[in-house]
Amino acid sequence: MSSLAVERLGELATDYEAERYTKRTEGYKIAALEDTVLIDDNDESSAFTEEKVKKEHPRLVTPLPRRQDFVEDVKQIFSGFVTKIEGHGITARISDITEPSRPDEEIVFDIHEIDERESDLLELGAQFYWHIGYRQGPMTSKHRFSTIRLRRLPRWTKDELEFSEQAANEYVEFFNAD
Amino acid sequence: MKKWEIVEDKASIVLVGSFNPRIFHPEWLVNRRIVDSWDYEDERIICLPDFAQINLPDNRVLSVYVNRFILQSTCASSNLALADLATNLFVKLAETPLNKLGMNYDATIRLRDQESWKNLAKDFAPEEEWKKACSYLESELTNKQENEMGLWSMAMNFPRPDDLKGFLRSKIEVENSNDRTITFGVNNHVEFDQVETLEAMRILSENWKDSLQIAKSLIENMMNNQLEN
Repeated sequence: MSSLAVERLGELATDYEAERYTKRTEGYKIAALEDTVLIDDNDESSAFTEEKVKKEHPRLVTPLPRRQDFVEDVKQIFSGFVTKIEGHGITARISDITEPSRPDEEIVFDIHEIDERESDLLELGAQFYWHIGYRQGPMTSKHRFSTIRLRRLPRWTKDELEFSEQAANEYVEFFNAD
Repeated sequence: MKKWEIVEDKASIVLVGSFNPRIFHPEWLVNRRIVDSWDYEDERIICLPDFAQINLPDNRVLSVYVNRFILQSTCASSNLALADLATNLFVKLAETPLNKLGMNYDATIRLRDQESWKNLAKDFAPEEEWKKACSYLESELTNKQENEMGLWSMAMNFPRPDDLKGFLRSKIEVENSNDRTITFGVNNHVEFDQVETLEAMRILSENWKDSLQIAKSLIENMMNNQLEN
């Protein structure tokens, strides 16, 4: 942990908490990766309810920064899914969330519209939201934005896929019984 | 020119139940493909055994107490995907006991001028009724005193638009009278009767978009109706 973080935590929390935090941060990382829960033999902490944290350590709960840099005024939202990926071109089918009565459309957009951090999600069938609107703030002049964000949805597990396949086979057998 | 503008807004998903904050670490979130990989700074992360708070990319903040889970966004284009993030999390923590769900939207609104400020709420909180009820207010008030009088806070309860148990509650509150800002929030509250975690996530996924839509149009309509008349 950086010295700045130690300093800040020391300032924010009690020495006891800061010490525990420093001692165990690496442990948390490992535990988090292993999806396990650390058991502290000397865990004297009582349950930190929201009320308790706010009351006893008000500065520990960092508020959202006051006044956002900008506010987004979203004018149109589409949901869609990818139907074809060819070179830099992505073909997708979109539905208008803002005006659901409008018919679905097929669009083609450039792969660079996708955030690089989300490139691992790009595949056939990948779902996304497309927001179009304006951003404006005290230090930000009004400008139009258009953002395509791929949705990070839960993946099917191996068990669920096997179960679905088994169920499908049972249906096939049932309908082909005659 | 519009008589009001949103200067800040926030969407949040709140779950009440029993949580283990120590699980919620950036490494775990990235490793489990719940959020995109990002360079998190220790300065913006608090991971204690009983409390975790993580500033996520795109102006999202995750706070977890032992009894409450809060996921909030101050970026309108991230709002819809908040439900995906919560679902993705609790699909992996499918044994988490959940009792209540809050789907909330809060806007900080600045009124354009003093006249708009005074006109707001004249229909649903008429000053005359209050003046009649308080003897010293019946006498003639100075301009300064007149300006000090007005709606400060009110909450309105609505029935739910669906068969779920709970309520919708809208709240208006003065944030800062000097710069004529108010906060206008809508809390879409659902009570769970011993539902499985995944069922709770299904309820969230199916209702989140409509919940945001109801809140935004309620605020828009209410502000316009009050200030246009």
